[in-house]
Amino acid sequence: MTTTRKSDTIFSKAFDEFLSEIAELASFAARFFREGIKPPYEFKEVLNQCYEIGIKSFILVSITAFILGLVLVMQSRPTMVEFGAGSFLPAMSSISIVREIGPLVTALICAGKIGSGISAELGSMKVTEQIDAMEVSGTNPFKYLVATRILATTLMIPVLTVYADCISLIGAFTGSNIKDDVNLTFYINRVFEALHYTDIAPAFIKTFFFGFIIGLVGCTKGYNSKKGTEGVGKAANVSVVVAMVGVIIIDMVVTQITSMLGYL
Amino acid sequence: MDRTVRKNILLGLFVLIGLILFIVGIFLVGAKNEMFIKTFPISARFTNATGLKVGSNVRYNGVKVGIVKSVKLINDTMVQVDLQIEENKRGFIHNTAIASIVSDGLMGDKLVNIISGKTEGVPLKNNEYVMVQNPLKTDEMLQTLNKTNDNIRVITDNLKSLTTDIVSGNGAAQSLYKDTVMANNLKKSFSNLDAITNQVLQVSKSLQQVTNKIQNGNGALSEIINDTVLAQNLSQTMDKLKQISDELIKASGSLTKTVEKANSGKGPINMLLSDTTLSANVQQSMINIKKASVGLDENMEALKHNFLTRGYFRKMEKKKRKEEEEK
Repeated sequence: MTTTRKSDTIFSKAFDEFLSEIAELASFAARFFREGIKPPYEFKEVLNQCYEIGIKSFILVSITAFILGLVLVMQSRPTMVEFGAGSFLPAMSSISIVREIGPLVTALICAGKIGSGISAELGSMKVTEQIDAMEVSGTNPFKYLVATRILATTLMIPVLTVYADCISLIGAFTGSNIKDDVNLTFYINRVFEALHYTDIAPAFIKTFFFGFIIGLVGCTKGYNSKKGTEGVGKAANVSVVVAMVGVIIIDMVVTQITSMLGYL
Repeated sequence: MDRTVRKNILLGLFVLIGLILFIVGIFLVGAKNEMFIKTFPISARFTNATGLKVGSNVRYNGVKVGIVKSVKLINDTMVQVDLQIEENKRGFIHNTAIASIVSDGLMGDKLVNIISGKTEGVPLKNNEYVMVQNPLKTDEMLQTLNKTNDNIRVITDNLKSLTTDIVSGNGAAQSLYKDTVMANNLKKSFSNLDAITNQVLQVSKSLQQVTNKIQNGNGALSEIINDTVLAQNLSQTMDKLKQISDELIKASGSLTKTVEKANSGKGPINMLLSDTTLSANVQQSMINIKKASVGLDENMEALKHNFLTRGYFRKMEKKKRKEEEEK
């Protein structure tokens, strides 16, 4: 006897899963904009999440940014000095930090720390049926748990990026003074002479998108986690990977747009 | 204090500091890009504005005075660069100033450098054009460099050919390079040349010293050259010498005639020179005269001692002695 079996996949299993992930994220994003802008607003929870995301990530972001600024100058210095361009180190480091290193490092650190934290937290609530309980009690869990977290990441990543830029520039100044004797006034003048609004604006704007994608991925994976505690771990892991890839893709798109507009 | 309130205060502080840093950064960038200071516009027209961008620095004699506001093509050969200059620098930039596009260091960004004019001028007004000096064209420089490279290639080819000949043993160059005998000869020649040079040098030094002495007025030669009286005397002496010489020539002529006469066998001189008998007689006469002279001496000595003539001789001696004492 022969049976005709309908295929479970359209393209391939992996590609179908990839498309499902995108669809899941898109629908979650649409739901955020649909439900998030409607009152009532959960201001207290937003502030609470901002505290958890912003202040509790500050130390980690600061240390990383300082070290990266320092290392950037120390690695670049020999080559630049060899070409007689040692005096361009402040300008080079400031443009690198403000345009790319500050926003990207902040986003990647937060994708690892915050994305996984949100995903694990929401996943735990999901598998322990706390989210269901909230629905039963009349509270909108999406508005309270998801919208507040996405909004908090969207707002806090830019703030953390500003700190990261400043601390990274301090690191670069320290790096410049390890082998050279660079005056602080000279350094500040050179840094801000080299920078233009066209360097700052795209870099600052893209951090909102970084924050949004980190919050969105973390919440999506956590909110939709299944299979008990094992699913929570997996959701946390996947959310970190997807958030990082998302950050890098956004970075590439923003760079391309900035280039098309003639600002690069 | 409530934990939530404390968290909110910390969060507010965190955001506030971040915001302040951001605003300060924006302000500093704006200040460096001259967005918060009063400026005035001027323009410059170049044939080539490679590397110049909006926001590039404008310097006056090396000091930053503004930025490039826009770079635009106005026709197929001309680029207009609009400059935004700080208002408080207006008085320095005159209509005789010259703008050029230069690099900030060897690898730095392009910028507009304005230098003051050689003559006095009046400050530029809004939207006026500053005179320009067009930048060196890299293509032309590269073309020249290319020609130089071609020449260097030809030279290196020739050198290569020459060195190959030397090494392989062709031509005179190889002899110079490898023949030890020739090398030794050359070495000796150079040694001799060195010695000659040294001698010439010494002679030259001696001549120099002589010349110096003459110039300084030392020595007879200097006197001869410099003393006009002596020169006159010398001239007179030379004239006299000439006269004497003439006389000598005449005397010599007479003497020649006499000798010729003597040689011809005429006259007493020839007889004296050629007649051997006369010569013997003369010789005998001379012997006789000598003997007579000795006899006369003896007679005179006898007279000095004779009592008749002895008084006369003593008187003569006294007179002679007296004359000597008077002297």
